[in-house]
Amino acid sequence: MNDQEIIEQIKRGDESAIDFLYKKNYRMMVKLILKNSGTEDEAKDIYQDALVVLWQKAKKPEFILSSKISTYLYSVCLNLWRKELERKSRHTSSEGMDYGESMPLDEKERISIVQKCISELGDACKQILIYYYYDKLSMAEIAEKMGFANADTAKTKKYKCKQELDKKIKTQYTPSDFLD
Amino acid sequence: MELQEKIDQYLLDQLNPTDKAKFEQLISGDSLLKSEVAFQQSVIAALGNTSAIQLKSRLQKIPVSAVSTVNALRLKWIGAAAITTVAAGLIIFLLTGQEKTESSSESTTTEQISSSTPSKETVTVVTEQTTATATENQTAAVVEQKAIEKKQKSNTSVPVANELKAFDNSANFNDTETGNVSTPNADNSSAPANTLYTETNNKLSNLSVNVDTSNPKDKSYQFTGSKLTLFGDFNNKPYELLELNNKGQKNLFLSYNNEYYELIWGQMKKTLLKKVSNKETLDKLKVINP
Repeated sequence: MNDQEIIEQIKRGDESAIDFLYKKNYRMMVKLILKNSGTEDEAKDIYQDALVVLWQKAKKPEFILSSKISTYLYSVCLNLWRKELERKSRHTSSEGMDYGESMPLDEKERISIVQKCISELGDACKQILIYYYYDKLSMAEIAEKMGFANADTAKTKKYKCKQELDKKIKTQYTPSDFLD
Repeated sequence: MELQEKIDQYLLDQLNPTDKAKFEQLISGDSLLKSEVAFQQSVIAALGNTSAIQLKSRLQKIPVSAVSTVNALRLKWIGAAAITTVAAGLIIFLLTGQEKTESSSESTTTEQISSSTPSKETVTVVTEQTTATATENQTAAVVEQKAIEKKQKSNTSVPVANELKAFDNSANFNDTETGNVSTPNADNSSAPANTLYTETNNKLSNLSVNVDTSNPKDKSYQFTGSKLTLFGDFNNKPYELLELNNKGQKNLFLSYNNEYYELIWGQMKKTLLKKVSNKETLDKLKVINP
C-alpha cells in the first residue's frame, strides 16, 4: 500500500489505514521522542495524536500530501512534542490534545457541552452521526459500514439519532446559548 | 424541503453556489435560524472531537513492541568498553605467557572453544529482546545489545549468565556430531537445502554472539547452538542484530557500518555475510533502524 492509497483510504473513513501507519512508523516516531528526553508512554501519546491530526487533515478536500507520510508524521510529532515541552516548562497541568485547534474559549465550552451529550448516545448512533456529519459519507456508504439493509435504513437511523441528540442538548440548552 | 435538511446541506457544503448564497442571506435576516446553524456547527465540531477520541482509543489498543531506552550512544560505549577490556585481557595473557590449563568440569563451552583456539579474541554478547509481539504486517523486534565481556584467563572461573549456561548445553550437543543434528524449523524454510542447522529456538534473547577477529578481512558468520560467531573486524564499530517480522516470517539481519547483512538462523556452515540488496527489505530495515 503506497502513501496515496493510504490517504484515499483515510478519506473514505477507513480506520485500518491509520492502524497500518501506526504499526509501520511506531518505532521511528517513538525513537524521535525518546531521543528528545521523552518517555515511551509520552512518545506513544504524541504519536497517536499526530495520527489523529493526519486523520483530520487528510479528510479535508483541500489536503494535498506534499511529502512522504512518514515525513509528515515526523514533523507533526516534533511540533506536538515541542508544544508539550513548552507546556511542561510552564508547569501547567496537562489538558490533553486539543483536537479543535485554536478557537475562543466560549466556543470550546459549547462544543464540550455537545460532546457530553454525544457520549450519552448509544455506540451505533454515535457512529452513524460521525460518519454522516464528520466523515461526510453517503447513506449508501454508511449502510455498508454499519451493516444496514440499504441507504434508506441508514437515513432513517441517522434521522432518529440526530433527533435524540438534539433533544438531549436542547433540554439543557437553547440554541441561543450557541450564539456569541 | 425540511429546514433541518437544508441546514445539514449547508454545513456539509452540499449546496450549489446560488443556493448557498440564498441560504446565507436567509441566515443573516433570521436570528433564530442563525442560532440554529451555530448550534448545528457545534454539533459537527463535537462529533469531530468524538471521532478523534475514538480513533485514539483504537490506537491505544494496538499491540506494539516496546522500544528500548538503550540508545545508540550507550551501545557504542558498551561496545567500546567490551573491546578495550578484551584487548587488555589479551595483552596481559600474552605478556605473562600463561598457558591455558585444562578446563575444569564446570567450565563453560565458551572457555572450551577458546582454549582450543587461544589466538582468537572472543567477546560474548548476550542479547536482550525487548518485547516479542508480532503484528500482521511488519513489526520489528530490534535488539539492543548488552555486552558482557569475558576475559580468557587460565584457571579463572568466569561467572556466566543463565543465558550462557543455556546455550552451553546445546553447544556441547552440537559439538558431538553434527551429521544428524538437523532439526526441522519453520523459520528456516528459506535456507538452502544442503545446509545443516543447529537446534535453536530462534530467539534473540537466547542468542549470544562471539566475534572472531583472527582474520580481519573475513566477513562471515556461523551458528553453533544458540551462539552466533561473527568472523571479521567487528570489534571496531558497534553492530546490531535486527529481527524483521515480515508477513509472518522472521528474518535475522546484522547492521554494521551502515550496511545490512542477512543471516540464516542456525546456519552451521561458516558462511560469507551477504549484503541485503532487496530494496523493499532495505526500506523496512531502515524504518526500524533509521
